[in-house]
Amino acid sequence: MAGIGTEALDGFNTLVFGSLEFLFRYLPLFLLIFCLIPQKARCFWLLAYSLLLYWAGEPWYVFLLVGMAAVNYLFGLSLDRRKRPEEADETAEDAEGVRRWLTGEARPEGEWKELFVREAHAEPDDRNRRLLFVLALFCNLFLLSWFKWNNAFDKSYLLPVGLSFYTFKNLSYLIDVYRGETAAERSPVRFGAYLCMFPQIVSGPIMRYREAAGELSFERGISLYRLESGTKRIVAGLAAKVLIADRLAILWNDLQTVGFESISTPLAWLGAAGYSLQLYFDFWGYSLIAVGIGEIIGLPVIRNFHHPYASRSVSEFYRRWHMTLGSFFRDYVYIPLGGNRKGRGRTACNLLAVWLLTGLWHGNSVNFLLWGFALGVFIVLERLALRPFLEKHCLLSHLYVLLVIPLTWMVFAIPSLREMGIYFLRLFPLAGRPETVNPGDFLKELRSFAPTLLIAAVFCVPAVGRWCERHKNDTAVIAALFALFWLAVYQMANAVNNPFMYANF
Amino acid sequence: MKLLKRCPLAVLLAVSALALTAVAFANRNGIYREYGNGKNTAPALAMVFEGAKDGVFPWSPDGGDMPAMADAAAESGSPDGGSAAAHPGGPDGGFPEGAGLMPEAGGTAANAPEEEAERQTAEALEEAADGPDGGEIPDRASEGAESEASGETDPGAGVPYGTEGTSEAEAQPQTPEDGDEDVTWDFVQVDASYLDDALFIGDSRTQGLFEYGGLEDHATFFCKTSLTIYDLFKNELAFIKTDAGSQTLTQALSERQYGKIYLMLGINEMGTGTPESFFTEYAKAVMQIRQLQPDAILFVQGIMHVAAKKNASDPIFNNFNIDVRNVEIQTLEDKRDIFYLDVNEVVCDENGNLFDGWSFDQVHLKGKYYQVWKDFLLQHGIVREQEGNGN
Repeated sequence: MAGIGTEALDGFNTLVFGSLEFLFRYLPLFLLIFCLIPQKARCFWLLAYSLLLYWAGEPWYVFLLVGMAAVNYLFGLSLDRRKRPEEADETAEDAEGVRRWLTGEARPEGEWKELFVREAHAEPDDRNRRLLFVLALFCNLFLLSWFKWNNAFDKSYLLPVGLSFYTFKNLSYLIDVYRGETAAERSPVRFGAYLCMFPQIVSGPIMRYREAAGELSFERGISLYRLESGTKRIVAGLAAKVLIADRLAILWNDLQTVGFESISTPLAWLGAAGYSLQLYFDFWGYSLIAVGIGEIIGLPVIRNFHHPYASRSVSEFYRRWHMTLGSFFRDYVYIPLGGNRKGRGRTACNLLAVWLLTGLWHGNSVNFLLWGFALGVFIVLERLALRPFLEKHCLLSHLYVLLVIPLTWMVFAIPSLREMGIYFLRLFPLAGRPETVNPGDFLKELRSFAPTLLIAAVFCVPAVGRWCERHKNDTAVIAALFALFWLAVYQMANAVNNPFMYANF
Repeated sequence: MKLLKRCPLAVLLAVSALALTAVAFANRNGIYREYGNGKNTAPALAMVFEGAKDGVFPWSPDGGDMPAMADAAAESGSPDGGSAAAHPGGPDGGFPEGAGLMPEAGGTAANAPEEEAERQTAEALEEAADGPDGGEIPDRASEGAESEASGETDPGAGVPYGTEGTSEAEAQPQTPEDGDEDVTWDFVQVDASYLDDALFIGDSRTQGLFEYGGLEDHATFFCKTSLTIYDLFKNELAFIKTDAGSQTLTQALSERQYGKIYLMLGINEMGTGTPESFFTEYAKAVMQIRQLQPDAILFVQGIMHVAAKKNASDPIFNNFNIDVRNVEIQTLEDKRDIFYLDVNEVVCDENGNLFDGWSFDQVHLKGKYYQVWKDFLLQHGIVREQEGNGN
């Protein structure tokens, strides 16, 4: 995802799950010591180790991470209404009002006015609390925007690793604490571990604090069941990433090497399909590894992908794709804006706003805005008109998703509008075929990538996923995972010494 | 046992990882001594997998079938050493750490004793001279290599582009055995039918010319991604696909005679050996082609440059190192049977980098720019029968 790609790379591979160093050094060392030390020290170990790994890759930005953890820890404590139980009654009414406003239950019009009126008449303490809340949100959003803004104009200005993700973790924490949906974390170590934990720092999933709060003390101890289950997730994720996504990345690279103006129309479609699958297996694989590590140490298992390509509408696709980000925008932006409770026009505006923000979050170039906008338009159309049709026609709805999503991924993938235009003219050759197109390119690439594309497509089918889940303890499945792991390692080992894996001359 | 029963995958992975690490450590000075060196920070067990790619397994005997390291091979000065040097990265264009032409490679070229360079070339040419026209190759212009190696990185300034810069020695080749006098030929504009009896030999860049140059109905192409001069005539490398099956280059060149042969190789070899070991192999290959195709006009093409970003950041694949080799390739030109073409004249900017935007990966031209290469070739045809063209 662009969330990964635009951020600084890690020179020592300390945070790169698909690196041999991480798999055979950093991860085993962490787990070994995690198991050996007393339960009370485990959270501290997770925090310390996470910061160490982050520091090895980002020697300066680690201070930003620590600073943001400290600031948000303090904000959380200050915002926590539960810390003063004796005052709970006094603020309950306000809290309910704010909650209704935030969740869109407040009256359709005048909620801003209502807020300000309440603000003006609020007790100093509550007013301070709200101001503090706004300040806390501002700090986090300002930092994210500042880095993204600078990066937009100067690509050499790299974003700190994981900034987009840990900012969203912070925001969800602050909002939940402010709403009273969770108590603030009293322990700086536990809060730091929640925010900085290395399995999630680079690319999520955006685990809510309230989902993890109960597990951050690691009181459940080490379980052999979770060790095995987490290991299986890690191996499956690694195979998805290394054997499928990295392989398909070569196809997309080939298209770019040839230049979009010289690819045939069938190859343009093959490229769109390949890129769509590459993105999915890359990010899904990454998420599986992240969740697998979390599962081994006792964190909740968070589902970030749920067979998105089996969806029957774009809305459904994004309920199944990067689910923690989707639910973040739903809970903290869409519903507070009024959700779908304020009429069709307002719903459409809310959806478009959410999707423009989603686009911006993914990257700061025009194509991401366009991507978000396009998705917003499709989702609005579905909401306003298409939904009954899609629900009625099973096959057509699947085809619709499998057509629209790869096309939107092309907008996502190609930063230059000019290049994007060229690509779409190759997908839809309205201007005829340029002279420099090699008509045989499709078959050549298909011969190379058909097996990988086929395997990838098979694993997009929910029934296949369910079968794997059901048979995950079968000897054959375990043997297959064992073989896949070492096959992936073989690929990785030889890619290390081959900087031109994507481009043999 | 309980552990194995409860978490078989985790246990199996841990045990196998430890076993492979032990194997790697035990053999790190044996069969794996050439792996995992240099800046490679990968864990020890990676060596086992790197070795497996080259066909080196824990049970492989130490010694005989070990891929030789390029540096060692190059130092030996033997042409065969150069050939062995092509092994380590395998046919995928990979280069083992330390095996390449490292930043100091320019220095290596500059500091190499002239006698040594001459001796290597002489060896190669001696071997090659067995062919019918073997004696035609002029003395290698080692002074050209020397001046280039010590020059600046600006290829535009450093390389005598075009034909004007050819030395006196090249303009006056030795009298050939067939009594053709000392006639040389100049380039003329030709049309695509000129290439009807042409053969192109090269790596993925020539493959690109085949796919996007629009020459598929005219010329024959023997090319393969990551093909190197060291592999070119290898018996086990049957990279030429024909209706009858796969053929080696020797077989293919023995079966049919071509009127013109275009050769562009050299970018994949840059991480292997030295400019000298490369040139030795190159000269051998050219002579071998001449033996098999005595009537063909042979066009040795200078290696195409890389784009600016790669040139500035890559210690191996940069235009300086390319030009060191190109100067050597150019010395093979006799303007009678062997002609040197440098497509960099038309695909590079004033700094000698591939034009901005002409390459995505900094190495290959984008599809539509292969036309420029094709046009360049058509502007540089040699028509030996043409009256009055001889000098």
